Amino acid sequence: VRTLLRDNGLSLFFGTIFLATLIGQAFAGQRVYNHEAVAHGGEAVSLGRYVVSSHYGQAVLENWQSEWLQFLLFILATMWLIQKGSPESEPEPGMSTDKEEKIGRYAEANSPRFAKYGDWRTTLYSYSLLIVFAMIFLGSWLGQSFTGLTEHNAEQREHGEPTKAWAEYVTSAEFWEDTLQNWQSEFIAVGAIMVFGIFLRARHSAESKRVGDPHDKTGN
Amino acid sequence: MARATSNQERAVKGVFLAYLFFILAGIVYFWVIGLRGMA
Repeated sequence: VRTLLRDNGLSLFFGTIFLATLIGQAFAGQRVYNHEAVAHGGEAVSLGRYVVSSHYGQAVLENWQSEWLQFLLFILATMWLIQKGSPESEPEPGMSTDKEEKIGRYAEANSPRFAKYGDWRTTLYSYSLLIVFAMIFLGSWLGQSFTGLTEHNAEQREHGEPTKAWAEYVTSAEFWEDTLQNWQSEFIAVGAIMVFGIFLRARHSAESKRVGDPHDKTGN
Repeated sequence: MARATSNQERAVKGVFLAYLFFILAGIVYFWVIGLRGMA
C-alpha cells in the first residue's frame, strides 16, 4: 500500500485537495446563496439542495473551463512557439519526426499499442491529450452556459424582469465577463511559468531547470 | 519490468480512470442541472 501511495502521490494529493476545496466551496456557496435568498424574501436551501443548484454548477464550471483552456493552449502553443531559456519550452521550433516520436515502424516493443499501428489510430493517439482537453474544455464551457443561464433567469424572475434564451445569454456581457475574468488569470499565469523559469529555480521540482543550469538553457 | 498485470500498473491505470470518470461525470452532472433549469 505504501508503494502504491508513493507511486501515485501527485495525483492523490491533487485529487484530495480538489475534493476538499469542492466541498468547502459548497458550504461557502450555500451561505452566500442563502444570504441573498433571505435578503430577497426567498427561502434558504439545504446543503443537499444547494449542490444540485445552478448557482453551484455555474461557480464550479466557470473556473473549470478556464483551467482546461489554459492547459490546452499550453500544450498547443508549445508545439509551434518557443521561449529561449524556459524549462517549459522545446529548445528549437519545429515538428518532431516519426523516428523521434517512436511511432509506426519506429515503435519499440514496449511502446503503446496505438503508437505501433502507424495509421489513423496512431495519428489520433498522437494528439489524444489535446483532444481530451479540448473536449473537457468545451464540455465545461457549455455547462457554464447552461447553469449560468438558469441562474441568470432565476434572478431575472425574482426581479420581475424578462428572461433570456440560451443564444442571448451566451452573447451577453454577463456571460463574457464570467468567462474572460477566468481566462485572463490563466493566461498571465501560463506566461509567467514560461518566463519566470528562465531565471528562477525550484530545486527538486520537475517544473524547474537544475539550480546550476545556465539561464540560457532551454528545456529541462 | 513486469507486464501490465502488476499492482503498480493497475493502480496507475486506476488513478487515470478515476480522474477521467470524475471529470466527465462532473460535467454531465452540471449539464443536467443547468438544462433542467434547477436554479
